[in-house]
Amino acid sequence: MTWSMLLVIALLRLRRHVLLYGLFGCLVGLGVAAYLAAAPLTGGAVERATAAVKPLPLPATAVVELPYEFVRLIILGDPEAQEAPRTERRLECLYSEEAMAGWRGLPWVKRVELGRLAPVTSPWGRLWTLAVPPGSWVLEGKVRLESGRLPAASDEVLMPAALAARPGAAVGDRVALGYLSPGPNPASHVFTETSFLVVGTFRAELSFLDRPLLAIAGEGWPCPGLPDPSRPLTSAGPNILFFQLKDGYPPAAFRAWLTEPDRREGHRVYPGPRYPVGQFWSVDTPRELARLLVGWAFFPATQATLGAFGFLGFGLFAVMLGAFLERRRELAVLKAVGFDAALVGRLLALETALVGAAGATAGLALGGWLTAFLTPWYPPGAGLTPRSAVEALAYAGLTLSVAVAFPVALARVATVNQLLLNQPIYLARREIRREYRG
Amino acid sequence: MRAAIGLGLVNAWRNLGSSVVAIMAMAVAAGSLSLSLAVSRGLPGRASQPVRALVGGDILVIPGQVTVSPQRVWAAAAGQSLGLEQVPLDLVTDLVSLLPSVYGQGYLAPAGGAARWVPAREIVRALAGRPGVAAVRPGLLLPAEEVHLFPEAGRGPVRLPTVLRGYAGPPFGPGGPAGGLEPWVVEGRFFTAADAGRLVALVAADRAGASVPGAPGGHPLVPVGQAVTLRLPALRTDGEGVWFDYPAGTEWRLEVIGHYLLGDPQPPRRLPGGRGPSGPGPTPYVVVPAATFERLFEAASGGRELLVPQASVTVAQPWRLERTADALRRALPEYTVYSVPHLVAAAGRPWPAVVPLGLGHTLAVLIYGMAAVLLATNLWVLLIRRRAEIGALKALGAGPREVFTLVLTEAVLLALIGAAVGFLAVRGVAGWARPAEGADRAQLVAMALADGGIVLALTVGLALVFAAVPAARAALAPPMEVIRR
Repeated sequence: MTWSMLLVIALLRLRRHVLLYGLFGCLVGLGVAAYLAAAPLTGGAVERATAAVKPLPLPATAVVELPYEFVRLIILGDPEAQEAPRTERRLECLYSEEAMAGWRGLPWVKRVELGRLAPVTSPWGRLWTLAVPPGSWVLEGKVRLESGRLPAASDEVLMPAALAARPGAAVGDRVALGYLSPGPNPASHVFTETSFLVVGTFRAELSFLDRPLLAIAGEGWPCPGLPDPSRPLTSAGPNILFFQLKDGYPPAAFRAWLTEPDRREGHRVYPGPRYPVGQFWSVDTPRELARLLVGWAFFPATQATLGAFGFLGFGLFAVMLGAFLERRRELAVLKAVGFDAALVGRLLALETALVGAAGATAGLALGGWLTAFLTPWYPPGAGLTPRSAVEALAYAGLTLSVAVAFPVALARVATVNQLLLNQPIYLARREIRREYRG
Repeated sequence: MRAAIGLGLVNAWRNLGSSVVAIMAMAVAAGSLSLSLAVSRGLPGRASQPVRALVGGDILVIPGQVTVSPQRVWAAAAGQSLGLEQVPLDLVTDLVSLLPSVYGQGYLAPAGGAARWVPAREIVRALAGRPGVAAVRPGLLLPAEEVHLFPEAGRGPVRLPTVLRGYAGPPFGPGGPAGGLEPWVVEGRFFTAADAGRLVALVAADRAGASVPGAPGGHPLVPVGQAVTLRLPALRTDGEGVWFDYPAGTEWRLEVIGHYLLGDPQPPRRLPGGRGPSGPGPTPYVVVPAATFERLFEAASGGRELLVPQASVTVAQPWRLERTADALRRALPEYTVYSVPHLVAAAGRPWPAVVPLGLGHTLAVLIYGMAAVLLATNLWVLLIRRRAEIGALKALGAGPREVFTLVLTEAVLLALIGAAVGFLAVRGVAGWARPAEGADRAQLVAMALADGGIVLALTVGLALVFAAVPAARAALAPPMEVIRR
């Protein structure tokens, strides 16, 4: 039988059940429209928009905040298999000479430098200061001096121009900065107010290099009068490491390496990650935050919509199954006049395709209107795109295919008797065997 | 009629598979609507009373753009500058306790959108009288240092950064459901009218676990009856902004008259970020009466006009909290507007995401449409399948009215069950994730009932509309026609 005849029969059947198929088409159309409405918030447009966020201007590829030191607890062997598990406690200092050599030895690290972020009280408020070793590559060529020179001794400070404009911060002035050294409890904190000489001013252009800059002299502590850094402390405040990674090595991979679980065969290790990273900054940090923000804002709505689209498949399946069960007599007549399984399959597929096409066309129109209506919430340039339309149609087609596969299979294998007399229809031979054995 | 209703119920049970599909469809739709309603109302009546008591209202407003909406990110794509900024350590807002990451890791901000100090009258003028706003209170906050002596440690005085906070009254007004900080006082006493202007203070009972950004934690708990020494930096201003001169600070001794505790110190479970659901966590504040704060501010600033880093807004209709916040956000783009539920939901995140309400509503309508059509289609199929039964009923004397009722009963039953499942699931999950301890139970129940009523009414209404056509067709068809077909 030719396709044109099948088409005529299919159209006649559709006309007969116009309301049912109309609802069926509406379902497909609404699904397509919902997908089109949600797609601009999940696709490449969001990626493009977030990628346009300004990268963080850093003096290094990555800046990592790590504690001065931490205790690593290793439970040797399987703790559940031992009555009194053996443990090993290791005090790991991340800023000792040995640790710095370890950082430098990492194959993807070109250079590494110690820095210390320290909040101070000053005549201009509580400020973050940055201390780096004299001659540090972090400052080299990156600080644009407006006057004076870089700090070289532990009591010298370089001021950002914006602060230097305030009274008492000119080159040659002495300023009092108050440091609060951390300790395990308030009684062990030490407050020290120290006089620093302003040796220069600079234009703040880079993150971390936009605050008073100090030189770490001696053992690495910027604050004279504070305890010896070799003295064990449970917390030494925010210390940072500037990493210049080798060209092409992505900062995200470095962060993943720092924070991946520390797995030692047969042992349990605490804390879980390789290093207890506090903060991690790279040029991509603003973009990552933007992606997170967009995800948090839109995730529930878009997931609900896409989930509804998936749920539509179940609905269509149920409807198609019901429709098949209802039209048993029609199918029986068709089979009685010579329709074989293939023809019945083609006829049902054609009906589904016709309804699906009509519904999808309406859905595209509705989706187009919806995306225009929702434009204020979309990334710039996002909306109804050929790609999202093709995706929506593809998903709709897939959903329809899955939804009708079972009813069509039933219609194909059913005999005239089974259809007319409401007898059970079996898809699998095992079921048939079981039936006849019974 | 009763028989028809009974038959409808029996039919729904007999066709369980199809009924389940219809129920699930309506549950998805009702869940979506419940979520949308909950978001627009400030989530499941998430009172978060301890945080409201801390903030002093339902909405926190900060001059500057300390958060960005997705639209800001889109603006960046269109060429506007958007970079990572940090809130200055001295700009002490409630984000010190609720969102400290904005002081450390930073936040995304457009150029020129940094947080700033503004005159109290300016922020009050910007907010007062706007739709939905019942009261505006400027945030009386100043950076300060506590001076502690530890003779046993043999060291000099320790200056620990802290925040001086003025208390301006209960956030919900004298007749409201909550009494501000007063109910949270666990030791000592609350302020009285006689304390206005006196050097008395309240501190948090759990302040040993508190910290301010950029400082080590552990604020010593000063016993009730003893004094805490506060060092207030001198406030300076010029054309560029406001700053605090710490070396020129002055010391004040304030008598601690009570301890407050915002929330359960041992909450049953913890949220991401380590904060319990019951409160904002330990707070380092030294709270003084508003008149005392004004006196101290005057001394620190040399008599300058009162400057504030934030304001709190009490909404007139709690069930329109998020709508009011959304309206303020749109009307005042140069301010950051956080609803308290948003702040609470932001635990463990760099900042709260501002969910666009309009988008959620549109998608909810779309999902609802889908569910309604699915219900109608299901009913249609069910009716076709049962036409012999309907024919038999008609042959036995059932009139169009009974048949119509039978079909509608089934539709309404399925819609009701679906709506109840969807509503309870969303409210249950939300209630589990964000319990609203401390909320006025009557208000919560009223809000839940109102939401439930809307969801059920809409769902049943849709079911009636969409089921009416198949029901009418079944009801009006002659018995022989029904049986013959």
